[in-house]
This record gives sequence, structure tokens and C-alpha cells, in this order.
Amino acid sequence: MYRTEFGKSATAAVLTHCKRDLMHAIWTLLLDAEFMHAYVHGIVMECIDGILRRFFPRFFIYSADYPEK
Amino acid sequence: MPQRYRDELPPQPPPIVSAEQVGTSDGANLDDNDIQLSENRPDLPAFTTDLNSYGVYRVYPHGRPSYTPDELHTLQQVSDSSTFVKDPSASESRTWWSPLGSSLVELRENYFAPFLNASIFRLMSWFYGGSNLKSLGELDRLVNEVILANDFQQKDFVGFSASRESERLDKHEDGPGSRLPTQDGWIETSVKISLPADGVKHRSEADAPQFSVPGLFYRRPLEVLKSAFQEDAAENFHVSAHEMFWKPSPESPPERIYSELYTADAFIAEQEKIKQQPREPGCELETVVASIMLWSDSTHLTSFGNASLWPIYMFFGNLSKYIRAKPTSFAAHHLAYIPKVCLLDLPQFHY
Repeated sequence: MYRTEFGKSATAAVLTHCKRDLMHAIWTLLLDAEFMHAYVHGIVMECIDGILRRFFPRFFIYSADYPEK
Repeated sequence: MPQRYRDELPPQPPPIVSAEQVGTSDGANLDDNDIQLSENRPDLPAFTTDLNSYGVYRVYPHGRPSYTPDELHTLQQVSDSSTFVKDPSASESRTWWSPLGSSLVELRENYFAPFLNASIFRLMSWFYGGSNLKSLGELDRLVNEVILANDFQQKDFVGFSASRESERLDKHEDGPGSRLPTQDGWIETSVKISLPADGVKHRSEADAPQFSVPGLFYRRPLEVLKSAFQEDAAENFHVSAHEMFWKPSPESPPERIYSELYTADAFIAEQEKIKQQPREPGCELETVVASIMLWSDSTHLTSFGNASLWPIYMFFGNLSKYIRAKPTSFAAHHLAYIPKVCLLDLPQFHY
């Protein structure tokens, strides 16, 4: 497909770029509208002790080896 | 016994309810009411616990916590070794398959898939499991695990063919989504990325040719979060961030202990920020930080060959690291499997 589109093979740099783009595309998919709403407004859940609480998802650690490396 | 042979066991966490409070509060009911009330007043003064036997205490910045897993604390929770005798009463709240989903309904109801019945499943699993040499031990296993099993039936083997059954297994492995059931929220999809090329200009990224990467499996993070906080294992989650201090003797100045995510400044600052922000209209509920930790790395599945996965794991910082880090606690939640891309699928190799 790449060759038919551009008439040449993809370079290593292009491949790296594609893998990085894929990672971003996946995260765009994962952090959907519902998640972002919960991030701003929280979501109410009943806890194990039977009490309702409003939870705000927050990211504290993101430790990843990227496929592009 | 000489001092050097004595083992100092980890002490209980600092007590939340001090002895005198219990004395004055006339039983547990009143105590519960106090706790309920404290939820709605984020402006409460900080609550300081008593010291435990190591001189460690906690300071909760927003009053007494409405829930703490400390009462469930056992030595079992903070120790793990293959040589330890398992405490049969200790609740194993998460099973080995739970990282993949909360129910895995298919596995429970139809555990012999792809085989047609339990008898064949048992025989095949004996054949492929254990040692590949005939031995007395293997013979015992054949009798105990296959022939003596309650669901073993002779009639299941009418027309049995070993090669057809093993083929069934091969086909099942290749079937899309065969191991990640949609009932547990797994979604299979493809993602599109734009392809660039040296020296080729497009008016915008949208105009560049798109390449679709198939085979992404993922679960929606909010669904994972909801199930994590509502399943039984959530009884070990801390809902209130706090500072931890050490005071070796009554005269010595307190020393801050940095240990868990929920005793870290970042967590406390975030909790502060959320308590300060305007409440949702009409909502008087306690606000809690659900702390997400993400890990991702390629993982090899075999010692020989190159079968591998690139998962994204989700852990929760509300859970103590001593529990989280135990492999037997199965505290990881599998969020996604990143498809292997470009190297194989990108046209460079195929076209």
C-alpha cells in the first residue's frame, strides 16, 4: 500500500513515526468522552462498605516502553 | 532465645479509633454516625491517629477517614513466599483470570471449549499437560484427573479421533477474540494512522493516505475502573490520602515517611484540588481520588520462538504496594493489547 501510494518503500524513520502515531491513536480511543467526563466531574460508585462516593480518576504513573523504540 | 534469632514481625497499622474514643462513643453505631457525618465536611481539622508499636502514625488532612482497610490487615497480606503455608481462611479475592475481566463467564460455563465435552477436555489436557514421558506419576494423573472425574463419561468417546481433537485446539487458538470474551468488555477494533513520506506534501494530515491497523483489543478504562472499585478486592483500597510520620520516642521530632502512593504529596495535592473545586450540583458525597497507574512493555510468552504481547496494564494506587506487588494478588488489570504494527503489516514488506 505504501509503495502504491508513494512509489517507494517506507524508511525506518517513517516506520518509527507510524508506531508512535499508533500509540497516540490507541490512547485517543481509550480516553473516550465518557472517561473525560468522569475525569472532570467524577463518577459516583457504591463502595464495598455500602457508601456512595464520587471518584475522580487521576493518572499518577505512566511507565511505558514504546513500540517505536 | 538470643536476640539475633528473634524475628520482628511487621506491626499493625496505626489505629484510627483510639481507646478513649471507643470508651466515650457508646458502641459502634454512634461511631458509624460520626464517620458518615465527617464525609460531608471537607473543612474538618486534620485527624491524627495514635502511634502504633513502631511509633508510626498518620495524619488525615480532611478529618477522620470514612473507610480504611487497616482493620483487614493481616500478616498474610504483607508476606509472600512459595514456602509459606496458605491460610485457608484468607480470602483470595481475585482469581488468576481476573486481570482479564471480572467474570469470564465463558470460562466458567463452558470450560471445556473448544472440545465437545468435559471427558475429551480432561483427556486432552492430561495429554498436553504434565510430563511428556510415560511415568507412574503421569499414570496416576490419568486415573485421578481424567477417569475418576465426576464428569467423565465413556460414551463421550464414541468416534473419538486424537488428530481431529488436536486440530480443534489449533483452530480455536487462531479464532479471533476466542480468548477475550466481549462479555467482559473486550472490544476488538482497528485504528487508523496517517502515512507520511519524505518529500510528499499534503494540505493537512487528513489528506494523507490512511493506514488501518487491525487487531487492537481493549477495554474501556472507565469500565475497568468501575469494576475494580466495586469488586471484593476493593476492600483493601484506601479512599483517603494521608501523611505518615515516625516518632521513635515521645521527645523526638516526627519524621515523614514516604512509602505508598496514597501517602505521597502528589496524591494529597490532587485530593486537595478535588476537594476545593466546586461540587457537582446537588452532590454531597465524599470525593475520592481513583489513582491510576499504567504500565506497558512488550512481553515474551515463550522461551523459544517469538510469540509476544504488548499489553497496557492498569494498577490502582489506592491499593497498598505490599498487596499490589504480590503476584498472587492479581492486582493488574489488562487494559489493552497493542497490535504489532508496521514491521509486518506495513507494505514495505508485503508489496
